[in-house]
Amino acid sequence: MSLIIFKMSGLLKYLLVSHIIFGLLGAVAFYAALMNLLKPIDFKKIKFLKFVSLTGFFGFILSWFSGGYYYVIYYGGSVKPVIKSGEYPWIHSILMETKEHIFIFLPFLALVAVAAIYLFKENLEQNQKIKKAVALVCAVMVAIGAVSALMGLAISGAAVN
Amino acid sequence: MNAAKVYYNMDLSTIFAINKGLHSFVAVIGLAAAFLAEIFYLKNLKGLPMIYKILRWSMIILIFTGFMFFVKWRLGLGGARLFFNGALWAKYTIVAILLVNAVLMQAKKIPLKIGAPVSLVSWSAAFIFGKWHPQWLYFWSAMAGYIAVVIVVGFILEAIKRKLNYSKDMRCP
Amino acid sequence: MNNIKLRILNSIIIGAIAAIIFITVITVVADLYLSLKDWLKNIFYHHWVGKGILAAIIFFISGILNFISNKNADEEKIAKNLNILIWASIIGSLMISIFFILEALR
Repeated sequence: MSLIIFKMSGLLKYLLVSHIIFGLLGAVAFYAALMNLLKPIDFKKIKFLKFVSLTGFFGFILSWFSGGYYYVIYYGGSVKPVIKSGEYPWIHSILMETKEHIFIFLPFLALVAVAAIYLFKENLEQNQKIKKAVALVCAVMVAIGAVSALMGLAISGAAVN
Repeated sequence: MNAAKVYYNMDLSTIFAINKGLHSFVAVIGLAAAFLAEIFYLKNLKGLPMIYKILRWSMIILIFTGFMFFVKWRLGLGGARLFFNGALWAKYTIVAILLVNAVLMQAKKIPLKIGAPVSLVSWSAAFIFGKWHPQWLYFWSAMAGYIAVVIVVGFILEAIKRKLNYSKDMRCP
Repeated sequence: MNNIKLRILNSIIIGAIAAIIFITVITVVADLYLSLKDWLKNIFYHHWVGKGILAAIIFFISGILNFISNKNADEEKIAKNLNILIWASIIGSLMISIFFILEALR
């Protein structure tokens, strides 16, 4: 266990922590957007929705880049062999492989939600079908984010122990 | 001494110790707010929107500070029990139930007579399992206990509402 | 809401649908045909980086093509495309996870 941790440079540690925090920020922001889209929208709510959706979008982008750098530079060579030779090799073959690919959905979904909120603004309230669909897009992002976070916990578990 | 210099001199253990303290403190606030929300609602007192705001912010802070425990463990600074403990996994599951419950209540997909006891018991159970998580307590036993308490609290809250003469099942405000 | 804004939003949605379908397909195909994975690695340094970059390119190209070719976008169409996007993400996620489960069991 200690070998993996000590081999991680300061930059990689910060990138891993950033990946987790920005990913959480994205999921929490879109959870807040979802909760607000379930209520009637007025001018004040739109300001908040614009803020959280943009925060969520940048959260996912920064999580993508920070996690991506860590994954490409460090995970493949140092962490993956440990997991694959350990007690739970399926944690890489199933969980990590799934996570690294479904995560890429998130920035595109986030961009759709941001665009819908910024372009429609308060007019979202006039079109309940679109408002409901945008809420569902946010719900999908929260679900993928939550599942990715849980997978990340399991991967960390297999890597550390 | 400016903030940047203070931060630079802090070692990771200090940051995680502060994180632990913050998590515990906000958990108490969130738990108190959950109880107050129920009391304020039953007694139709003013101030409910502020309490809901406190509940929301508490949950956000708890999610971030909670994940920082995993970061601490991932960086090899201790805390393996976070991962290999049934009661703690019950806590994480209950937090997820709490978040889904909030969405369903907001979307008016579940009535308050289900949402309210789930919310109250979830906050309490998460707090309790956060503080008390013996190795002998398995995940399924903890969850079974949680579900049983939700049902009991549901009946108690309904009885209180009837005593306060609530004529109809009111939806989430 | 004016037509330009509706067309922009519709194009972004179409781009996202195309990107998600592309990610799902290339994930499965690259794991089944290792020559594709090697090609991605040779061009983009890492197969995962290649998938991300190509998904972004597909997003932009599909979006722009849709914007140019679709002169009329209405709210009904946007609602329908949003629902397609939601289903594409759910089915895509499930397909990717089921694929890797089956691969691990092989």
